[in-house]
Amino acid sequence: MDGDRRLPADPLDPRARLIALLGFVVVVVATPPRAAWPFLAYALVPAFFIGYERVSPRALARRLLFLGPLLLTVVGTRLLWFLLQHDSGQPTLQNEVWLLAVLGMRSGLAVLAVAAFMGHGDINRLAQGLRGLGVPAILTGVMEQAYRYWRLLWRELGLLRDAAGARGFRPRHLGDTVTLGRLTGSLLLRSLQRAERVHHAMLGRGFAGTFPTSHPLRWSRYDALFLLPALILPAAICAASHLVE
Amino acid sequence: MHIPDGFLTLPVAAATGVAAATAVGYAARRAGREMGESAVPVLGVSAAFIFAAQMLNFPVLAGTSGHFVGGLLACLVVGPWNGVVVMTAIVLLQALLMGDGGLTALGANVLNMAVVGGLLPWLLVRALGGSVRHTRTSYLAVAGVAAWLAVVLASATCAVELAVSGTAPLGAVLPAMVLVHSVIGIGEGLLTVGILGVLLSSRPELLRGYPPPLSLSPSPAGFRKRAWGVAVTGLVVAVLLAVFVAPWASSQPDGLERVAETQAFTDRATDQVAAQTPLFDYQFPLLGDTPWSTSAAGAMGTVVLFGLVVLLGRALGRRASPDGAEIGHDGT
Amino acid sequence: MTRAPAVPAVDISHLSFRYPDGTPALDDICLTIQPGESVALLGPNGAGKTTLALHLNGLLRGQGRVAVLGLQTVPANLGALRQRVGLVFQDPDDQLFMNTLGDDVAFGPRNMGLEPEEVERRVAESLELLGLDRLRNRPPHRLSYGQKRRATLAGVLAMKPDLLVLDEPSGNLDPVGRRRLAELLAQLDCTLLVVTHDLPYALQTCRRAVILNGGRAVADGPTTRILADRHLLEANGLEWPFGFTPPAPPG
Repeated sequence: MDGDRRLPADPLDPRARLIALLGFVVVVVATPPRAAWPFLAYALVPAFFIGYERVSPRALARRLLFLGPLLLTVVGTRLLWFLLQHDSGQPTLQNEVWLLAVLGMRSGLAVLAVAAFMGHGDINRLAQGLRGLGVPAILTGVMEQAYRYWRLLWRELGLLRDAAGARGFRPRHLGDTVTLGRLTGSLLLRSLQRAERVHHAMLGRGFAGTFPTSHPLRWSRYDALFLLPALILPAAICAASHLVE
Repeated sequence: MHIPDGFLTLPVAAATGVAAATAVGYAARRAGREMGESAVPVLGVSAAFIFAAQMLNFPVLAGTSGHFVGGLLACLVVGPWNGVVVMTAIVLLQALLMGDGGLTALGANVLNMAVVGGLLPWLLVRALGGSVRHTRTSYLAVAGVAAWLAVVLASATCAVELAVSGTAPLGAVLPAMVLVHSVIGIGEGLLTVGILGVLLSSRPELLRGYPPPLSLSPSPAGFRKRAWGVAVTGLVVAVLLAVFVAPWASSQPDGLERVAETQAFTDRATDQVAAQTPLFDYQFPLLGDTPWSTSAAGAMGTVVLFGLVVLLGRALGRRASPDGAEIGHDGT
Repeated sequence: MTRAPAVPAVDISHLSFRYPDGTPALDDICLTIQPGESVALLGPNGAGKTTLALHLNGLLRGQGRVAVLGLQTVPANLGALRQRVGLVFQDPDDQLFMNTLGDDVAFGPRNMGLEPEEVERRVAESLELLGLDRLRNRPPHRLSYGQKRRATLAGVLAMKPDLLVLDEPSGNLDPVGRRRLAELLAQLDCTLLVVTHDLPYALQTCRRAVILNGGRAVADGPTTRILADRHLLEANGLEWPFGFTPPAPPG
């Protein structure tokens, strides 16, 4: 009967995970960029949980890649500015490099923290935690449904594109985007029709507006064991970085 | 367009967060009242659609591609406030489960993609979509232009947020972002036209608020008044933010620009690093006795320590359930 | 199988329905089903079968009288009705809307306001009945099509319905899945309405058959007799699949 339950249900309250995550990120962003060592020390907190939860390194790397475009934008614009203002003598190359390093460290730490603290991405628990922290139930309900159906719709979109591809459609330039839009439009049409059927299926099983849960959230000692180090450690590092001048 | 953590200072994050939370809180109440128990399935599946469509790349110029945002489309399909709920749900999912977009930047991202990139252009379509004549073509044309504008406006807000945080100089980042996105925005506009075209020709009744009211008919006076109300309120909020938050934000000690002026990485920061942690007392042999060498040694040391702590966590940790949803199903 | 005989499970008289865009879907339908019966609702695509099914728990409401398990489908009764009528839709992805199988099966019982222990008991019971107990924590996108099909049935059976309505239950199932599902349906002791155009499956699962065409009920009788009447079938857009010969009707 318990074949699929080797793993005890997550002992942590999802609210604890969210609080730890938000606290960590706020502390990291608030740390003055005077020295590198606090940022490097922060990394050890998510590192432990990344190991503990066995987050796959590939997924982690992929997440870090999301930082690329905006980091490049900032590098580009700063570089441009640097070149234009060079005669004024104010910014120096080393300063610029340091600033970008700080940006990279801060954003990278936040990405590590999301991967580390959100566990294995259990959407139900996440939604329950968000609701417990005051996020409107309608919003978490929409999140849960979006999470449930995006893969399905992405696959349907893939089938539509394959079907168009089989008849010779290759999007090459911006002009092809209208055709791509028509494909996507037929996916939207199907999605809205599906939404109607899902709505019927929900009503058919007594849905009255929000997802019912039968496991109410309860704080436990695990949460304290988790929250104390997860919050105190970064706070201590931040305080130390302020003290060391 | 998703701003990660660390690119915005906390005051900017807080200001955008409060603004976004107000808009989203109101939108969630409206959505619940308007749609009743159909809100979750209908908005949820619509959000799944936008989510999937956002992964769609379209070719822009030789070799480069942009991706769909869909804020305006969401507002046009399910209604403006419902659209805000849909876009917020997507931004939350991306931030919390995919690691795309920061947590302290949630407010800014919601503001850019749902309010500036959704609600605002929706008002434009609403006001102009039926102004000349009620034709499908005029509606689609206005929607396409508004979708382009949505992307450009959102990129401009994004640039301003970065600039106010001192992350990038406004004079460079604003024109750069607007320029790039006014090209990418063409794709967004064309996609939006294509998508709406399919909907209009087969099931126009699925599109909430179509056809838009004729601006010249007697009824929209009330609407225009409300539109003005929204516009004026928005303007007042923006001015207040600019007057009170911006100077404070840029005078903050952790505004990056400021730090650049006052502190040089070379003469102070690395000395501290070296002084405080014995690990960093090493120098990277190839680079000799330079600050670069110290930094490289520090980075190496951190990587090693990071790896050790990951291993420690693994040793103490539990085996993940094979059926537990794995992290990183992103981009399948 | 012993129920009070007085109240029919389904009692429809003179039901007509048009979609909002004006398309007529049902035209003066009269149908009575007694408790414990198993009835196949046959007809080609677009005959109005699914539309009729959606009337049975008040998801659609047309003109005429629909009483299910003694309850008229008026707004005041819908809550009670939807607990007692289990509707299984065609596409399992429409019905598995929660993010894990366990949560999905628990959805109905939780909405009924049952105690957590009772919810747990029912979830475990119906997952076991359908052989899905090992997949409880799986997200739906990691189930096979046949597993999804069974999962939708588990979600409905956990509510212990008195009337079970299945829309195209055999569609897209492989032969083994078909047979297993038929065996399972034979075990259940609730009233069964199977909406299908799969004639052999109707014969396998239902003793009575009703043919719907163009929104009208055109024939009603024992499945063996209906399926034996080739002309009747062909006049209503149905035909024996290649190689299929129904057994001769009794008498």
